Amino acid sequence: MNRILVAMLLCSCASAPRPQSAAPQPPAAAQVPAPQQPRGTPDSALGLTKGSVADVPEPLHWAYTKDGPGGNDVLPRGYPQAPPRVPHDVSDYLPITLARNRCLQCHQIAQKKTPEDPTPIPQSHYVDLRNAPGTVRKELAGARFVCSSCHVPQAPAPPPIGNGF
Amino acid sequence: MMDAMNISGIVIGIVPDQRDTCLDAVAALPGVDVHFVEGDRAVVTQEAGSTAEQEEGLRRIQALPGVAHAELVYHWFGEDIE
Amino acid sequence: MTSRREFIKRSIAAATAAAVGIRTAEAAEADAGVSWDPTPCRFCGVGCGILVGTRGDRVVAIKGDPDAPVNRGLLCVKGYANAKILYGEDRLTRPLLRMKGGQYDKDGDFVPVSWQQAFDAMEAQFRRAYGELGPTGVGIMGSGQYTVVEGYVAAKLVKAGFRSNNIDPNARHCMASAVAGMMQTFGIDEPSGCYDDIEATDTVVAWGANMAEMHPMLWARVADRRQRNPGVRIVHLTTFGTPTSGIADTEIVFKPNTDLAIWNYIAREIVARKKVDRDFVAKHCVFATGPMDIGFGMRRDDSHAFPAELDTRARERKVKLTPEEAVAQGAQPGEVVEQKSAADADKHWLISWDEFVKALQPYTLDFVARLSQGDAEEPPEKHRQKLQQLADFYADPKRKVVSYWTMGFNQHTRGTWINEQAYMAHLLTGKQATPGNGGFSLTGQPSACGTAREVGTFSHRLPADMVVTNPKHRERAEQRWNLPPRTINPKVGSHITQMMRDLEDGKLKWVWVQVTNPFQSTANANHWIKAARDKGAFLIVSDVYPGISAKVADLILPSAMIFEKWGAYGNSERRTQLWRQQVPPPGDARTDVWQMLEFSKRIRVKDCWGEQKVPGLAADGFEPGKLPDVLGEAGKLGHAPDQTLYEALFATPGNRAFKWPDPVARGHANHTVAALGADWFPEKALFEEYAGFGRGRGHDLAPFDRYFDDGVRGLRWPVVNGKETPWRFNAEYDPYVKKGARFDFYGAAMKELPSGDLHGVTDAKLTAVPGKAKIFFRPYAAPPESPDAEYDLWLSTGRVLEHWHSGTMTRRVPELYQAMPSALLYMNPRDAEKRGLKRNDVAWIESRRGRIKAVVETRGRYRMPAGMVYVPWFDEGVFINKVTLDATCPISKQTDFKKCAVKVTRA
Repeated sequence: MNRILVAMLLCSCASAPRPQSAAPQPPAAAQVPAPQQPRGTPDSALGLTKGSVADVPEPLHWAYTKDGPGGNDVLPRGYPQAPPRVPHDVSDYLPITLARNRCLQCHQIAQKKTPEDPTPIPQSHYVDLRNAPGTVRKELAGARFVCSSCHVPQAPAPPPIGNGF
Repeated sequence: MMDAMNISGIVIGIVPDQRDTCLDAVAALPGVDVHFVEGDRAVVTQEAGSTAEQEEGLRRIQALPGVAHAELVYHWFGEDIE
Repeated sequence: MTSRREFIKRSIAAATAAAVGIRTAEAAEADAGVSWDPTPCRFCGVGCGILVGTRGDRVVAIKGDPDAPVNRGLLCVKGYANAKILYGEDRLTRPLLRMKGGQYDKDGDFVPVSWQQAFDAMEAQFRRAYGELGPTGVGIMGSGQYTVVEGYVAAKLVKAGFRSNNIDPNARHCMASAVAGMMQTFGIDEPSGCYDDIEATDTVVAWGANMAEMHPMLWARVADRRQRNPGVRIVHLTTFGTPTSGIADTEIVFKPNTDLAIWNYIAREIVARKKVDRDFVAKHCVFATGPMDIGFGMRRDDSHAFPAELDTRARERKVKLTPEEAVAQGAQPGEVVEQKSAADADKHWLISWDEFVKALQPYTLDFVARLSQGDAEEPPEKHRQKLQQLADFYADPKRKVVSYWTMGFNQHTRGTWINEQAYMAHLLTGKQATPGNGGFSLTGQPSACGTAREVGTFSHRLPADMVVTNPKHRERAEQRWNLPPRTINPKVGSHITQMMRDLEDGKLKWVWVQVTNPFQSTANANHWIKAARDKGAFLIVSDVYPGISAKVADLILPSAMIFEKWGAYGNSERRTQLWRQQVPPPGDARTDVWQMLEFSKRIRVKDCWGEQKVPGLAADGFEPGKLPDVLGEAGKLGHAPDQTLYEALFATPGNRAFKWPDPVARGHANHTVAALGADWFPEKALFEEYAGFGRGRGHDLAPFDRYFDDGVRGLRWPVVNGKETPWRFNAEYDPYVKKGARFDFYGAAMKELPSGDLHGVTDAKLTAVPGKAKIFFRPYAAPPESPDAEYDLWLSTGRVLEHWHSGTMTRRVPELYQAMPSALLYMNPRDAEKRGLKRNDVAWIESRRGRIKAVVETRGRYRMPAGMVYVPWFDEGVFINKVTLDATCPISKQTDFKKCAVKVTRA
């Protein structure tokens, strides 16, 4: 629904006719077609939350996936080298503390032997890029200990506006 | 139609003096590309249909003559939007 | 053309090679088809280095830059999102003007227009507002996310061009208290230390700073340090449990505002245990204090107040001391104190060591532990023990300590005081300005330091720590800018919250919002969104996506984003990082620099440099209420009355000598130059012009090109003889320290002071204290609004890991959106139960100022003590700033977003 509105707004811009103004224009504006009788967009149609800013919208209900770890489909990465997202519920595993890092208990394995196995922490995470770049160590790099800085769980809530990346 | 792409980045340790044998054998494997070689180490990518295939492929590489060791360094799983 | 599959394989091969340290020429080849160039991250003040991968005109990937000393190849989840923030589907690509019947109309809908039409409307409205009200009738709301040059152009346009001081950044909400604290303590802004403190310290104390979420890659360094060194200790002081407590050895949950008392307890212990570094203090410090009756920065004019606001606002004039305040301030309980020093809140004077020690005496462990306990469920003895342990850490001469703070301190109605108290403890023990030791204010925004503070895009500032109220500073700026004497307005302009109030009062009628979303980010927002729409004001919002500010605007201008322009940011450790344009902006979006330069062609010298009225102006050499006509003098300097501000201020002969194309571009384009149709390089010329203010004065930046040299990943100023300065004020590292001294707190501001006691000045004679840092005594004070029978909960706002500020960028990245789709109301489960609420219910959150709805969360990442709720502010659909209170630190004018009183009811 929201995506359709946005698309309409963009269309109305793109199809606007060229201006008839004879006034001199700055170089950059010269190629810019300005609309003659364009349709206006009310402010209530803009933004991630539609409606007037004076209104109090109903809040969105959402929840992280309830699936426990194991056997979940691996979520696609945003792009190569983007961090993997967490496909399972983590509410019982966070926060990560000095004494307890539940992520490591499952993911600190060398290899995935069956499809149900957790995604192994890659070797890159065993390299201390600050102090010893180029050496794969036995222990996880300390700077990577707080897994949740980078790997976040997901809620099955469709974004109101698409991304054309 | 979106298919899954399952690609892993693997570092191979080459047995000294067996560099050519090793690299020829690795390159001959289906879905495996040798990207670069520095000293006794090579970086290859392996494309697989599933995680199971990928694991199997890694074991195949490890078993090749001239391969001292092979380790999965990077694993990418994403949508194939081609 | 490389196929996507091939591209992915090559990227993975490159990542694999990089991970194990294979960095051959072949590795670079693996990236064929993708060019990588270093830039800083768009988001927080940490300033991580990223590599931006582009293919053609598109950003296709981001990776952590292994050569960046800040983050060494690591990024947080937002860092990786840099690749996608450009591509939200409702990106603004055309100017949009509210119109009816083909004309601008305040009540019209947004219609796409050309830049020509947009500037026509802006110019007409500028002339109307300036003609009616003079320089104070116009203003710019700027940003700590401005590039250095954007901020410099904005400040020069407003201060030199419009002769107004109405320019103030969102950074006012972010680190103004840190600035005021440093200026008053050291006489110069910006931290003495750097991030390398982390690897050198024994103790990290995070005060009201949720570093794990807000500064994740610094927190990664802290986590690393802790794991390698079992003796290292981490303490987290906070008003509720956050992920930062996870890596901490000790979490201290304190009651809001009692951090003021905790510092004094620590200082009292340091003194009582005879752990003062007497030599350091004698050589390098003096003691000082200031007035206590300074109010809370709230409006004194109630004409626009909502009826429910009046009781809180009354505390701006008179405060009935709580029993604890009475003890802490040496006063009588129940005493009613008129807040007489609000206008002189920044005044301070020297006191003796004996007075200082006397002032600390009430802050015993018993008193402070009772006052400060923030979690009623914690055994009191445990809280006491934690405070004692904290004092042990600071007092122990063998233990190095870094204190980190951010919004918990800075967004505080006593924000300047609490910053000063941190330095108090560090200076008493000599734990400042050495590796691993020091108070360190972390900034929230990517260039709050580099632009807002160093350039000085504040209503009282000029570049390089200078201020408009100082005649010598004005003169220096006028000379550098080739302006006639008395062009610059000596009267401090409106800070950003005051600009909102001016808008409501009809005193400000032309406002240009740049790189910020102030109608979402300013507290007590119901007033301001109404003011923007109801009054005769014209609001221009330059932005990249339509947020709340755009929705209340009259004209929306589409801006270029970080990788679509040349830029420079300065992070929290004084590291200036420059980058090249990577891709062109979409559609008609233009750089903010271009927008300002192009608009400055519309305004002529004679429009602003004649006589102007400035209500309330009173300064030596000026007629009251007036700025003089300087057109005659301007002519002698080569500024004819018809000269445009573009020619007078920006395209000067000196600046035009910086030609474009320039070899430093290495083939990268410059959209500003192209759109301007110019042959000069504004970003380089204006960077160098700005740098001229600070070179030789302790703020030395390197030459523009130096930042683009291979291997350079930003440089920490002062950069003297090509060398950066990791620790300031310390002779081992800082070339500005005077010969023979071990330490030299050489900042020159506020270093001539009267003397007095805890109650006021007793000797008006000024004493010069060059080279000294001031150790302030500042008392505990209660906030202007605390929970009561009706509004019975504390509300704190803040950020979350996944979203940046008002969420306009990050909420358009699918991975981040889905990681935190909307803002929740975090509350203690028993508080919820008492109100008939459970997890996932919808609740009203209501204060004296407004109410909104949110979904209740009683679990999740924040552990709320009873009596306190937390609502992040990133979500325009959960507009929490309608509820918050616009009280500020009276010295820094920074809003306290961390405490006000609310009630929560079932919706």
